Amino acid sequence: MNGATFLVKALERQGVDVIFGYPGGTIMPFYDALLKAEFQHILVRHEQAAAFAAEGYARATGKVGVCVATSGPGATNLVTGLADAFLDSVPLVAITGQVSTAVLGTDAFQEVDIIGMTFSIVKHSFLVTSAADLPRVVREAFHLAASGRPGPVLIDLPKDVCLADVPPKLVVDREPTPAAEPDPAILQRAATLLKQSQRPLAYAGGGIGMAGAVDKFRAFMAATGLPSVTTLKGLGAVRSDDPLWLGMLGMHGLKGANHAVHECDLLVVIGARLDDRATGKLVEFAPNAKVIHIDIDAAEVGKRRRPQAALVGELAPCLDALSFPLDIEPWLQTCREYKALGSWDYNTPGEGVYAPRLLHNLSQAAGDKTVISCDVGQHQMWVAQHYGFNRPGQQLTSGGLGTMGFGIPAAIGAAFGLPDHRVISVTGDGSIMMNIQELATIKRYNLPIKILLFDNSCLGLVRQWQELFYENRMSSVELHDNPDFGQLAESFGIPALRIEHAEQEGDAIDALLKTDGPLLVHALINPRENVWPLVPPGAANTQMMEGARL
Amino acid sequence: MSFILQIRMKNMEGVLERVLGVVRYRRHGLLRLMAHPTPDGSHMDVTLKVDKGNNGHHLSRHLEKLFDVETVEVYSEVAAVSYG
Repeated sequence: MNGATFLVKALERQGVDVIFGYPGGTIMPFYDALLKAEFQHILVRHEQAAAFAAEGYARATGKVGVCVATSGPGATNLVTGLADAFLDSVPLVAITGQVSTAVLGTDAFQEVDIIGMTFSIVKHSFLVTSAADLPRVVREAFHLAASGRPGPVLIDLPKDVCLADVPPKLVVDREPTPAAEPDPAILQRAATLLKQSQRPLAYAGGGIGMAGAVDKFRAFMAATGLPSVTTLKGLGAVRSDDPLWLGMLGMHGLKGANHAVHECDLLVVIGARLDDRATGKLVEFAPNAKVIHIDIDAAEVGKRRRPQAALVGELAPCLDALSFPLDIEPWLQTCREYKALGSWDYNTPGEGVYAPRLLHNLSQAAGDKTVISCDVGQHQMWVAQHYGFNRPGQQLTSGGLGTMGFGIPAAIGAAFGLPDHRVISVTGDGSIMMNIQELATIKRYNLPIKILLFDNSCLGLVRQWQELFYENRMSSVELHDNPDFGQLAESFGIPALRIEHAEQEGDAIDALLKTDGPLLVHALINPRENVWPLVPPGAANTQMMEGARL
Repeated sequence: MSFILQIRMKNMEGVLERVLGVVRYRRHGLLRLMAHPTPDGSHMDVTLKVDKGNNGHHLSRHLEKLFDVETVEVYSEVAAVSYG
């Protein structure tokens, strides 16, 4: 058995059911072996989309996503996806072809040092120089990607290794260090802080979903009765109809959420890294609070805010130990008042499509078996604010890297991972053009993905910032010469529906929910619409700007 | 202010680059480096002196996350001298 065939068999043994990739010179032996694979290979139209599709699959299912590319440009096209997965802790195994070992380091055709250029954006990487190493490398790669704090792992595979025989010998794996048990003394300190607190608040991050700890977290919340805020990646950890959930905090967070963080006297940070978009000006973030920080990654605890109790390890045992009732009714009443501060008014003036209202109504109608895959920009923030998520994995969003072009390929991955779910990609006219070629993948595999495109003929979030923080000087944000997106979709064989009036929003929602097969809904919106509220860069979260709706 | 890190790592291809990359990315200046393989060649022992000593334990946590790194010990410069 040669290395390529062994790799295919090894992926099967790992339980892989689908991979996303694009062939090329040095990876051809693997593609030849793929012809006999028991799993499906999805041919995307750009390697970046392979990485995002694998991410979408992983984010939606919780399983390891796999992407493949050839050496050189194929490998470099994966780099943004690796960075995206790294910053959002997504389990990913990326396989790149590489020139043969005999010419490694000679600037051979399509040779780049992909290992060297990705050191800082992978959890680990392997350059496989001997077929004998393949069994160990594949096992370690999958284990590393999924264990502890998940992340991307790169396997760089020279062509001659693919063609060499894999000797049938056992190789001892190196296992990653298991997560530490929480320190009982620190647990006790955390319990004391919680009992002494008059105004405690849970700060829920994406780590809750990544750890599969949602049930434990919700049991903890039910036992303590804590009010909560969530980060962008933490949306869904708390059900959106929870009366004590104050919403997303941070730059585009809800007013009530940011005020509650400012006023609390104890912040229980769970599976979150206190990202700068969430905290705002750090020295004014939760100024009255002590902090309990629970995370599997010791490097995140204390990175931006020194906690009074640092619990490093799996979330579940920590949450179990802190699940006891609290008497905080006056604070809960305050939080209910904060929550009322953040209630939305969807009665916007004007006859045009209002994206927040459309998303809110879509959320009400779509049900929990719907996955929303976002691109990046104003629409991403409107989704976070106005769509009610009830479980992690329901929202696929590029949080840490903020990568335009993520949404459609991630939706493709989710559609393969959760074929019994409805998948809707919400995008903008800037973002959709970053990976527009993947409409061909949707059509090729007849995926019933719905695309909701909010078109304001500009790069809306950049325009908003130029309006607010650069004295209205518009620089390279106008996209008035966009293609006709309906015709473009139809040229890929995907039907399209165009809406531009408020009274058409209901029709659009019906079409999104009831159409068989893929569909593009092209919604024209006011180019001057802004995302509110907004914490200006460098300001404290309580210094929120709010503007008039147009 | 500076501090010293003593690192025991698997002697794998690229391991030193990975360690130095973390030091650079986490904004520590490298002041001194000593590295030598263990007698059996399976491991490498590295001693780094880096600046920004008030954040040494945080850097060590990032280094500990590298798969090939087995142990990281942090010393303030004064402590290292007294042990030396």
